[in-house]
Amino acid sequence: MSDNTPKSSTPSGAGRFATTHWSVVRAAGRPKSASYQQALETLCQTYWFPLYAYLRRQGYDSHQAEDYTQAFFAGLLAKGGLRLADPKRGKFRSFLLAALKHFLANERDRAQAQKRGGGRKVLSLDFENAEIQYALEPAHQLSPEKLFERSWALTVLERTMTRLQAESAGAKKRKAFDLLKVYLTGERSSVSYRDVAAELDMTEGAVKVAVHRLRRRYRELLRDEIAQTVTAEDEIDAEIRDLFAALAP
Amino acid sequence: MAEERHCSECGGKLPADAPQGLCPKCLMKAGLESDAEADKTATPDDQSDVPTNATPPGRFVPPEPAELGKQFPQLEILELLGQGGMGAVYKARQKQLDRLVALKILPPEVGQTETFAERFTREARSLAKLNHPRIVSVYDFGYTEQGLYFFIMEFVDGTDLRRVIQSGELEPSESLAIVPQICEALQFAHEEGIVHRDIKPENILLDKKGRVKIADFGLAKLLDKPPTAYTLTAAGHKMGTPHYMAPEQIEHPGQVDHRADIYSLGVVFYEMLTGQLPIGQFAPPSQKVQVDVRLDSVVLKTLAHEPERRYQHASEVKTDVETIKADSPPSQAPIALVGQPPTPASAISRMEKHITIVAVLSIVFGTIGILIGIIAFVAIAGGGLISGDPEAMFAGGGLISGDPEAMFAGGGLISQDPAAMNVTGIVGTAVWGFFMLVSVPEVIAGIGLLKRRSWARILALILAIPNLMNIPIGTAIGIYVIWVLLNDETFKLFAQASEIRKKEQAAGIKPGPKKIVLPIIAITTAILFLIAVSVTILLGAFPWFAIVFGPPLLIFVIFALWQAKGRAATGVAGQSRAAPPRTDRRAVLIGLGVAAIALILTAILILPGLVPAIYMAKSRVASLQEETVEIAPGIQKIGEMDFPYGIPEDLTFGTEGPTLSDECTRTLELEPSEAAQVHKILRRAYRQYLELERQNTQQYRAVNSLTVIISPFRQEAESFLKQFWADLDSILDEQKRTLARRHLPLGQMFGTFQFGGPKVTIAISKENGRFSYYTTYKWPKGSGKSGKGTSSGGGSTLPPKYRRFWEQSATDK
Repeated sequence: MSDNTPKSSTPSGAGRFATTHWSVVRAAGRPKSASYQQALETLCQTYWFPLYAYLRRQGYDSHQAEDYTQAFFAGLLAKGGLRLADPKRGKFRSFLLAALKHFLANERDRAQAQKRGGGRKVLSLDFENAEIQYALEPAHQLSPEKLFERSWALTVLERTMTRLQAESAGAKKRKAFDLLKVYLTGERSSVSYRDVAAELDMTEGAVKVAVHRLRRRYRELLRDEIAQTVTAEDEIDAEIRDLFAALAP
Repeated sequence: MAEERHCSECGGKLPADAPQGLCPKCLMKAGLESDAEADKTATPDDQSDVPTNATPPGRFVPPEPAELGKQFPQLEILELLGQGGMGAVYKARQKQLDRLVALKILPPEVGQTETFAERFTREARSLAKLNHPRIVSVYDFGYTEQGLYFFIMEFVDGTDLRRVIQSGELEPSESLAIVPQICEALQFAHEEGIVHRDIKPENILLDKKGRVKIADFGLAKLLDKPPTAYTLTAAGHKMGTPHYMAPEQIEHPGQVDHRADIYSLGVVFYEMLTGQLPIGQFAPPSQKVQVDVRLDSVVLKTLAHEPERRYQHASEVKTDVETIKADSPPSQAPIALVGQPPTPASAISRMEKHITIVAVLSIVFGTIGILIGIIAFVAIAGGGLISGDPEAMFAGGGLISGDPEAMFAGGGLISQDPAAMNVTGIVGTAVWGFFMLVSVPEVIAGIGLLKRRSWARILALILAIPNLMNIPIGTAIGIYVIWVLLNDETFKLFAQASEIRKKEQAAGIKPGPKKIVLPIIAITTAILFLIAVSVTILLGAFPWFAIVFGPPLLIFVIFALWQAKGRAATGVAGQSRAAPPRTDRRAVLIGLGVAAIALILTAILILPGLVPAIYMAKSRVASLQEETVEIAPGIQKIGEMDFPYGIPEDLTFGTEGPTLSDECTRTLELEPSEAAQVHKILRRAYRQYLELERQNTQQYRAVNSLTVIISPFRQEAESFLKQFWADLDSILDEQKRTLARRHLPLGQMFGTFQFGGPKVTIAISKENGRFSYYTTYKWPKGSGKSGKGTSSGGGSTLPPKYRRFWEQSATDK
């Protein structure tokens, strides 16, 4: 039985993990180092929208939310910014929200925000799109925290899907990806394997294999994406479950 | 507004911002490592050409029911119930008997080892014998032609405890109904010699009538894996972690016995009551939810780190839980809080931290105090005793206390020399005794505070009061300590802790191993003390110090032994690790930090006083060592200790040593004729030098004091020296000249007061027949020596180099 062969290549857990962005940030200690700054910037660039959504839901108008987001990152990326919250604990998501709350508590005054970070562009963040995206967020009674988590989860998925899509270069692969991606969410797709196989000019078995590979790759990417924001490999599953819960209505 | 769409997989509404139009929930779920659904399409054949680095070991894909059915003709396989690292479970029907059964298949890779088949049969047989209403029965087992190991088991129609806990609807009273049933099952299995090893909510099944059935007995051992790490379901939040495992399962997997199940039961119990896992610093259940406070001790005892401190049998847990259940009204509030407005948990836990900090401060300062006391004691008594030299006693005391008065105390008390004994000296020693008197209780109070003992609170309060007088740091710490200890929350915490202890005592909790640190400290100190006493007696002196140090030490020793014995008697302290005094590591670190800062600040504040004291001690030590210093070209000064006084013939090294003249003859290998000439030169030079010194010396005499000021006369001294060498060289040959320059101890003759280099001020005073003297050296600028130096001392007699002035001026007068 072929599947009885032990898979010798275990995922290179520790090795890979040591270099994720969040672990770099946490390990840096000295905020001066270049790798620290870069890692933190990458993370912020990726996950700023949930913060924006959080601020909007808190009742700030789009301009205020914009200013605060920039001011917050300015503070975070400036020297000693991590002192806003304790990065020693937990994952990036919790850290960022805690830091933002802390920041808001210190920065209720709008004039203060103007002075510190308003008008100053730290990261190039696409606020115009953000407003459109925010408008798409369900309007029902999500608390700001819940909304933050939800849009965080969506950001993670969005990033993962974008990366997955980017890997399917070429017209043929692209078409296959577009047709197969519906299977990522599960079995009960309205489209049958047979139809897809016909469409792609493949055998049904080959489609199954392709779906299987796509899923595997998807899972790898998703886990990698999440690994960037947590501290240990074994936290990934927990984070997925948290995010899953955050997506539940 | 986009039209409403639904996910074909989970039926949930698709949000407008769904990534790539896919259901985000299902996408997220697909990311789970061992989610069965995501892998369903993968046939075993597929896996071989899948990138292997994506396949974590230990995962397997359960076959479809229909496919599996081919291997089990006797069964009708209905559906897959669940799957994890331990295999997969299907609901099936036995066609012949027409009954529902659960079919469990093990992951195919477990059959890899040759010995497995034998082991499987052996274990399965013993599992099949486990016949109990609370245990899922094993009907059959074996392996299929395809090599798949399987069990056919009783089918439990209901749910598992995990889902019940997650529903959040589990009442404490229901938990109290469930736990005894688990205990029954465990007790039965343990008596049969079978340890479950993987008790967790997923394995505790509940049928529709609420009856408990435990599944997967002994499977963890059979599969020889760390049990928990493999199980996962999409909804199970806390799984995939070893939190249900007893510490020894992780630390010493070879030594696991039935008590590991009792620990796991404790984790489940805690989770049932609080909804949380007891990880790290966890609060007892009654602090989190409204449950009988007596349950705390039951839960905490099952969770004891060492197996021997846990309940030894599951039946005991059952008895205790049922006792509490029987005689308590449902949902009783924690006793300490009855009739009072509930205190926010955060305030309480904050106070917990503060109490820990106070305790740490108390222990740290107390320990430092004790150490100072012991060191001072050893230094004062020991140093002097061992050498029998009053000077040494003096040095030891001086080094540590920097207090000249305290130094004499030891010497006087021990030697019983009336000249050395004086009132202030005895007071000085008594101060050290006081140190011990305060420090020992301080440590005791600190330990008591960690255990939340009420008496420790009172003791610490009393001890904080003298602290207030140490302006400013002691005052600050004292105020903080008093604030913490008089706080309302603190009071509640202590009341609660004592309540819990009483309950534990009433429940007859057995003792744990004795804590041995305190008795060891006490016994060591006592032995040191007895050695010191006997050495003193052997040396022929009366151990006066015992009067001062004895009582506090005795109290300490008695306390330490009583403490150890007390544990054995009441067993309360045996629970200390798991019981309410949960020591917060962070608070301990904060406490240590505060203590360190206080010490540094204190050091800075007393530094102005400390520096002269250290200098004094150092100069004394320097004089005790025979240190060779070049003080002028060709002149080496060898210490001061044995400095001879008188003309070269009389100058001796030590009381019995050779004279300077003899030494000169020996080191220079002089012929008798040469020796006579050299001695003559030495004598003359010595007189000349004294004359030179005298010309530059002014003396101010009072009845009992004398001040001598020697002005620098380096230039004259050096020309004198030049002349001296010229005289010597005229009678010595080349070889002896070199020898003379290298060995002639001229420092003995001329170096007494640094050969005219600095301005020397000597103050000598005599009081009650006792001399004391202070010498100050002030080096002129450009001399290459640093500014100022002092040395001082005293005794019943004056050292010769001072005696010279004292006697001379007395006669002059």
